[in-house]
Amino acid sequence: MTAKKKNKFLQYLPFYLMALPGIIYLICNNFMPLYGMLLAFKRLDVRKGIFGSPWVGFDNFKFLFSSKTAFTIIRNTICYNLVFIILGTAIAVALAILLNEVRSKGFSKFYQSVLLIPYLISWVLASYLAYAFLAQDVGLINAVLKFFGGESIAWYSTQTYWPFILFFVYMWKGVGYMLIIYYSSIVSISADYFEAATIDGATKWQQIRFITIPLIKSTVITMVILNLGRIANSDFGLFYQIPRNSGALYGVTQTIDVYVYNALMNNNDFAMSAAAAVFQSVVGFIFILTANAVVKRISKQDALF
Amino acid sequence: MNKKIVSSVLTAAMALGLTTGAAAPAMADDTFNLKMQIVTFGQEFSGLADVENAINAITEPEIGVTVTLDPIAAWDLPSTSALAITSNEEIDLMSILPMGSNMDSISNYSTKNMLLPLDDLYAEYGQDIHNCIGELEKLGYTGNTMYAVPANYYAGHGCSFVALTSELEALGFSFDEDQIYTLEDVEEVMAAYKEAKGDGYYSIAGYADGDIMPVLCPTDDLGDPAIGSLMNAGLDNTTVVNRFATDEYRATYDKIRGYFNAGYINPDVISITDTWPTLLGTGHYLGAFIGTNASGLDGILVNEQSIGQDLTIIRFFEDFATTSGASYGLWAIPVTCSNPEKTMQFLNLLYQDRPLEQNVAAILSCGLEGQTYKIVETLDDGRVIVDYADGVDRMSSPYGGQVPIYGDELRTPKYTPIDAEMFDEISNYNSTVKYSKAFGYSFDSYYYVGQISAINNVLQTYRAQLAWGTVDVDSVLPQFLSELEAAGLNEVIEANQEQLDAWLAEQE
Repeated sequence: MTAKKKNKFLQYLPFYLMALPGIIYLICNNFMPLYGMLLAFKRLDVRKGIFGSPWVGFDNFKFLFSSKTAFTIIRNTICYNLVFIILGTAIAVALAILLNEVRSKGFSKFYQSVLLIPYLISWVLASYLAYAFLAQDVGLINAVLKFFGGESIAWYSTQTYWPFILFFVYMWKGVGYMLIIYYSSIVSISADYFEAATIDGATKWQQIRFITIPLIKSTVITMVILNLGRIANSDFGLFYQIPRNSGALYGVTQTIDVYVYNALMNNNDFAMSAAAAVFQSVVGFIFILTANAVVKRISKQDALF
Repeated sequence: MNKKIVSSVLTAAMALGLTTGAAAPAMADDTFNLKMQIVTFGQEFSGLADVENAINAITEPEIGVTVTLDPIAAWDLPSTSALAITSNEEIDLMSILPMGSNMDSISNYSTKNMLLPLDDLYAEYGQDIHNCIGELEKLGYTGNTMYAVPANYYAGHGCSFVALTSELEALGFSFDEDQIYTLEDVEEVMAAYKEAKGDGYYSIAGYADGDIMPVLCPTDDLGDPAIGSLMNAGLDNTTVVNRFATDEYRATYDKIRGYFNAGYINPDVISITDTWPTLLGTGHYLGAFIGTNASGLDGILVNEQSIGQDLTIIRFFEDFATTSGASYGLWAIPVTCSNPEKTMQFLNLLYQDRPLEQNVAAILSCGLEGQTYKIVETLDDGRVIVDYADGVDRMSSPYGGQVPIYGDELRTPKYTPIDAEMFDEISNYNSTVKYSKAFGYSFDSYYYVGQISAINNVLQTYRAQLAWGTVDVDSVLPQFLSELEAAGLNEVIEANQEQLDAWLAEQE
């Protein structure tokens, strides 16, 4: 180690120390269990342990691909996430900007709290709230439909409506949390810019377009890339609890996570769940690399690596 | 110098380790502490230590075993056991609880090599078990290997419509519980109920997980619902078929679709998570199609208590016994057991004919006299009918298995409203019930776990919607069948038939 380098290391030492608990956590939680990936390629024999169990190649992956379910669950996982990322981000940013325009401190806080409350509700409770609206016999929506002379709808066995219901529930529940980050980066934009723009006669819309959006662009890109990395994961509560695990809806509600959960509830097979998890990680990894490469071509300084 | 200090410290540490290591087993001398799973329905048992002490007082002098009881909720058992064994945690005596309905199975564990083969241990220490359970012994086998020991209780189960007696009376119907009726008789009652009550009332208490196909169209599913079945409960044939593709199933699906269209079934059925006793309790339902399964007729009595009304059992298929139906609770010794010999000796103790105060099975099953129960009636042979001790009930009892799985359950105390006749009824029942030709056979699914996972997922997608008539049979059934095929069901059925044929040849 050269003297200069050593000096630099010493200079940063306090920061390394500050990061230490986080690094230890990462090692214990994210890196040490990685050897469990081996299990995906083995036939688990408890008496021989993970390392001693016989290799079976890609056998454990077969259950994912043996029926057209594989296509359905991958399509559902990826497409829902894409919609959530694109539309979800757009809506969250829009709300954050609107929230920033609320001049009264009290109202601004009030709206933010109201938006955040659903995020704090558990999925189980949310599923009962949804059920109160959607139940066929006693649900609110069907009661309204019937009142106006319409036919009642079997919500929990009609696939057509569910992409919209799931998106609505997802936004209702999550948007308050998503906008916090955007809202905070908007708040941190120096007021000077806006004052200067106002003096120059810029309209509100022009201020948003030429000041707010360019300045929060890198936050948005970072968030999108991070979300793309989790594109193969899905919110289990949303896809399992809200449709009440109704088999009739699996075509549009079953994601990789829900499929694996249901398969494992039936036969408790760790090797197969490991296989599904490895598959999920590989898909996620490919997506994050692709997204980053695309961002790098468009605007180099915003790419993650 | 430094090195010397370090090495002497290390030597000292090693020596210390050696001595303490050697001292530990010597101190424990010959007593083996056995860790045993017991089943709860989510309660906390405050009297656990008293129960352990009472058992230890019997087993320590007799076979040198003390117990540590590990209470686990019935629905958590499969995942808890699998996780514990995989992470090498010690369990000596493990409960497998299929409850007559595939909630769990031996193959869940045996396919992962989690269980010790019991054949040798059973031959050496299991004589009393053998004398007690007789034919039921077969339930513990997979292929030619014994992996588990079943409790001694009901072997068979029946198919019935269980209805609120008050509603039947109001409609002017009466049924004899010992007679076998037909499904048409039940349909008549359901139609009358719907007509009398109108909208918002349903003849059948249906809920998402309550599959009524096994009740309306009995099959022997050979130990797992995803591996092919014998039609007609296996009473007259040994051909493994895809039950969903049979004419019987097709006709039954159509029949249920008819019930749905006639308004006998709540249109929300596939999103209802309450079970039938809760639904009947609301007063909006007439009855439910249920298997009066291995938990037996006493299960109905308990339900009468929780609903607060009398129930009438209307049977429409003669009771029968299959491997899955008879498997209620089984005991297995996992590979993490540190003393299999002592564990088998302890298990054997649970099946011995003993006086009440010496009966370990009775303590495990019902707890202690005075604390959890009081004796209401003592029979000539020493068996007792009991009631909850003063000041406690089913949920607040300091200890209470209430699950008939602890060894010889025909000798353990039974809670009222079960009466003394029940003991004889069960014994008679097991000797007169009709047995499936494949009774005792279980498919060894070791090489087919992937297919079974995929098949189960297809079942999960389609079973409830078809079984509750919420969808058009013509459009959904063909899709269901083609997906089952794609998941590999035919392959599994073929292997299953092969194993069954070999098993049948051996039985002769």
